[in-house]
Amino acid sequence: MTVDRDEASALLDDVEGIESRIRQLLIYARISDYLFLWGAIWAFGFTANYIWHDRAQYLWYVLQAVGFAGTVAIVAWHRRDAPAKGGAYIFARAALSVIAVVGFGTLWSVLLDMGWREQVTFWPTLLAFILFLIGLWIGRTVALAALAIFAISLAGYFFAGPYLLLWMAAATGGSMIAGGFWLRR
Amino acid sequence: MPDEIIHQSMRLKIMAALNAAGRNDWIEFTRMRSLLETTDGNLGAHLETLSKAGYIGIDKRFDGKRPQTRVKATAAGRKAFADHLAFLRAILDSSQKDTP
Repeated sequence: MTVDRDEASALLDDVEGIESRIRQLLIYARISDYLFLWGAIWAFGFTANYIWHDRAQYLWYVLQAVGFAGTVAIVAWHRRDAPAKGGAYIFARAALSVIAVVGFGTLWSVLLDMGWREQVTFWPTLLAFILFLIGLWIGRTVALAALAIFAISLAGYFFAGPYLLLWMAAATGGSMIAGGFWLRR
Repeated sequence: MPDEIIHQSMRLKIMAALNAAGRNDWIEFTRMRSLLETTDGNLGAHLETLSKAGYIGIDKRFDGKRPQTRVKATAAGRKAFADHLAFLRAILDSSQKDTP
């Protein structure tokens, strides 16, 4: 069998195209894992918040800890095939990312003296905003999912009235989980 | 030397997809079919060839009530794919050196 330069070049182009597409699908699948986790936490958290309003603060401490641990566990799961070298650095970056987002959100929710409706809307829109920025770099499907989560959360703020918590549980938590499935389709 | 099994265009694409996935990651038959824009019969025949060569593993199972076929590259398949890519790159490199 003889292979000339043109054929070799065409085959290598094919390989590069397929590898690029697979990498994108893997990134989408990985992002979907975080959407499943945080969608489930928010769906449960907002429902519980609606039922046990007076214990909401403690509830969210616990759920944030669960989300933090879950995020680090997902990073570990995604890295199960990666070389051990640099692993600790990746975990530190993942933990710092979560702490930075939670710290930023907490700082401004305190400084701006947000009411409960604003706080309830602020966190999902903050996450959707970050996801939108990520989507601009890695693929429009992620950006579109983020825009949908953002719009649904904001619509709840304006239109859900006293049922905002339930709206956030069903619509925001649900849209994140649906977004996860959409990325995996 | 070229690997005649992997060299065929569709089989090279299949191996490229499986190689790009993680070592423990399976790719579903239906996802592979849409990724490579081919038919069930064509993909099935090429997967069979790669499986007989020991380059891929094929797993048939049930996801709930839905039958599911998934594939992943074996260690031998990854090595054969890497060797074949090296062969193709060597052709490009040698032709560049020959160019005055």
